[in-house]
Amino acid sequence: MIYQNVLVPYDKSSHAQHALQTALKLVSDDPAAIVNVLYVAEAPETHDAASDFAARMVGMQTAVAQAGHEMEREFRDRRKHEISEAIAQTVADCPNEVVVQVATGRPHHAILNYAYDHECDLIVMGCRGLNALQGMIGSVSYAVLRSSEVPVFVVK
Amino acid sequence: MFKNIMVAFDGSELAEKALKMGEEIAVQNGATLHVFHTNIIAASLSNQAANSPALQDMLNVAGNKVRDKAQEMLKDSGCTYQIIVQNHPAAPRPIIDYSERNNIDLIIMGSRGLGTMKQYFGSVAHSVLNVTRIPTLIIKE
Repeated sequence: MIYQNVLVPYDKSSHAQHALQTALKLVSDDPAAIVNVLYVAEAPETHDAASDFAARMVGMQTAVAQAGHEMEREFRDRRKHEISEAIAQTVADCPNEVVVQVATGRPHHAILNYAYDHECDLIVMGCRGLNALQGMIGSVSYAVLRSSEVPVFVVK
Repeated sequence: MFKNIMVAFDGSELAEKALKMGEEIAVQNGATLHVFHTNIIAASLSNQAANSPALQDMLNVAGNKVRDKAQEMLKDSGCTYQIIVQNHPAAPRPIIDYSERNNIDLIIMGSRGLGTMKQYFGSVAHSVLNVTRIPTLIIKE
């Protein structure tokens, strides 16, 4: 397979499942090719204005910020574990390396940043995920398609 | 994995990139490559053209240029291929119809073509993607 470092944005929808299956099939003839499964999670609120203020009042800003980072890390690790379990069956017989990652932030930004940072050479995604209207390209898919610098394989 | 790969080709640089990709994937899969070009002719002219061989010829010149370019790119190709040129006022519909009638299992197209509006994501790709049930590989610049 020409593509060596494939990115599959994953949101647990059936479209994402299908995209993942397609990506695995695409790379199956080349054992060196890698599939990256990226789940974009909404970051939980680890701090807000009120608790920031309270922390400042008692002189505990650093401690609270640190706790916030800890929580975020724990959150990401937990999600990573969840996703790995969710896709375990799908990737079971796959000879290729499958990397599961969790990112936070706006979905299309997270996806494109990941592709850029990891030099992915192909993005495989469904035409829509969990939130989009029937019959149209979803907003995240569209945003990724628009701004991607690498080819995008759209799976129905 | 694929048996019939269709590349939408309009002679643009991006379409050439898409065609090269299509050829590579076709060779890898032992698939037949269908190079499809919609020769845009104004709807109003197609009726007149039907009655005038001279006008037909003129309209076909542009289409043939694109056909020749595809032919040139594929001349040493290791895959089975066909080049199809159809006259039509707009690109998406003929692409979709062809893909549905010819067992196409992969469509490859550039994200933008030769359309008059320079957008990040062209209307032809958008229209095809919205309608097709077939997996589609979009090639970016």
